[in-house]
Amino acid sequence: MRTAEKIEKLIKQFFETQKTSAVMPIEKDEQVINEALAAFEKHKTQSAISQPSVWRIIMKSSITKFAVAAVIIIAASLGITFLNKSTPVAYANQILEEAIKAVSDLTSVHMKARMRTLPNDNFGHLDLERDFASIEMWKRTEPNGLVQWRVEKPGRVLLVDGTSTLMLIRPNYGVLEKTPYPPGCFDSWFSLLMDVRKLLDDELKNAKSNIDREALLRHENVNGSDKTILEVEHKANVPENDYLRNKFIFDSDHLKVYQFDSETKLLESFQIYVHKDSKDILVFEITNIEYNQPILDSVFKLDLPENMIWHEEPKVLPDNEKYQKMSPKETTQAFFEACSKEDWVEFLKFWSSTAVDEGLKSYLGGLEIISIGKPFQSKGYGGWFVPYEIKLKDGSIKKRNLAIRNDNPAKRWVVDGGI
Amino acid sequence: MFKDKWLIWKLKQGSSDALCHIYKKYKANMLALAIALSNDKSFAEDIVHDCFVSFAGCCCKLELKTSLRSYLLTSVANRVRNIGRDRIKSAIDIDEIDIADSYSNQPPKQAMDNERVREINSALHQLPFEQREIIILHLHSGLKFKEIAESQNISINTIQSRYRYGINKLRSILDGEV
Repeated sequence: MRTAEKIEKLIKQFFETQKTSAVMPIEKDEQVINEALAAFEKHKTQSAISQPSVWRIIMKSSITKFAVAAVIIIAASLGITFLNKSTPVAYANQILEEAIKAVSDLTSVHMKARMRTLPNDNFGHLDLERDFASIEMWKRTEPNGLVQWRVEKPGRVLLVDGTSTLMLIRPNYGVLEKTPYPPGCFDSWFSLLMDVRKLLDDELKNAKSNIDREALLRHENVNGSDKTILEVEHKANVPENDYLRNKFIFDSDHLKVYQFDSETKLLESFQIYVHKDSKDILVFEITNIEYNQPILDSVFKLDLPENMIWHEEPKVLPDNEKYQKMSPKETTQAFFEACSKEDWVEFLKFWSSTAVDEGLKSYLGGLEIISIGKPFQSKGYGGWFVPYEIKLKDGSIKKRNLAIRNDNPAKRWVVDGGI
Repeated sequence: MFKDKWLIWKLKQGSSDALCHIYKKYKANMLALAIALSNDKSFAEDIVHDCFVSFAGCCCKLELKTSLRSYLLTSVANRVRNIGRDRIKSAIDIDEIDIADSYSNQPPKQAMDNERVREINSALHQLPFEQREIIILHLHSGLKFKEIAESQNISINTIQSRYRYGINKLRSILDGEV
């Protein structure tokens, strides 16, 4: 007897076959449109008589006049759809300059957020099925101009202390650069939210110049305060059937919703919704923001474990050519063979670090290769994905895709993920 | 969701383009649902006509609590239920309906699919209207039980029960015919 799930599947298939025959005849289409427009126009006329226009209401209040002028000049100059009324440009420019000045006195920002992601994976990684992981961000500008910032999720920390950049993938894998990187580095896209001065203007300018984005700017009264709401629709960087689709923020069709205080232009809330199968899934949300609150010095310091393993760019080997010539499939085979034989010297030829973590050794050591599949690429990634199936020493079977790339100075294939 | 919020906003600003855009976007969904519920294409076209003209006449005052798609589809379902029950063809008339135009030129192998389609259509129309309606709204139009419950002002438990009974009855009808 069929299960309920099988019946549901059968019925859904049945409905799919029926949907193809649902087409409105042209004459009926025209009739619907004409009568709907007539009803619409009639209703509009009746509404206009009974209510003052929204524009007249706005202009009565000097506070909202400020907000609306500031918003209109941005929208008008960037060609974004908004109110179709004109306003004195010089007046609006002055208002906007005053608003920007209000933001320039910021010395610190502290944000808490949540995102559907793996706690220790790439900052841009997305998992629509997963529950939220917490994220926290700090940024501080010292009187002498030193900028320090930190973003963190449970398994990964990115810290710029003003002179260097450190990323720690817990428990003990680190990447160290001896210069301070700007927010947004190492795929930490949400750290750009802390750049509040530029946030609104940059997003609007991007929307104007990028055909894959649509922006809607409007203002609302929320609990008696004027807010500027910016909604920006982003198209995915990869096609619908791409492997990376919806696995990273920029590889998804998504909507960003910003809410700013109209007077100060400070960000007050932010959400991202990914569009999938006619659903809008909340994947990122700022839950708390504080401006100009003291931040402890200890936030910009990180205690590292003693057994740190550091990222290291692949070096040119004496037999480098042998490894350069390997195909993605051969590389994957050689890598897992090294794991199988517990040959950690050979392992490091495919792994960008100074040593092999003991945890990794016990996880991968002695594995059995079951199969290695046909490599494939994604539009959103510069390397290759190689399907594999292995049996670990504990008997468990893992079937995944290994990510490998060779865009390093030694031009050798190294594992970039998928373990 | 963004597009629909933008369209509603434009509609409230008086944009007839937005109204046309909404119709173009959702007419196929609305018609497919009306056909699935009523089994009568001509009647379904009338339902879509009535629903959309009614929507156009009140959209400026609309405060949507659900998505625009959900609102329009539940309007169709409510109208079919309230007006069309006596016009919905009974199961005995099923054979008169041209069920799958796309199969009409298929080779003999596809004739089995036609038969299967008829069986399922017949099984669906053996269900009580309330159960069939919920199965169609959920599996055909993708509406959630919560949305269906709110549109009909019934508890979500009742909706889920009707759905479960309907699926179980379909299972026994279809397994009996195999």
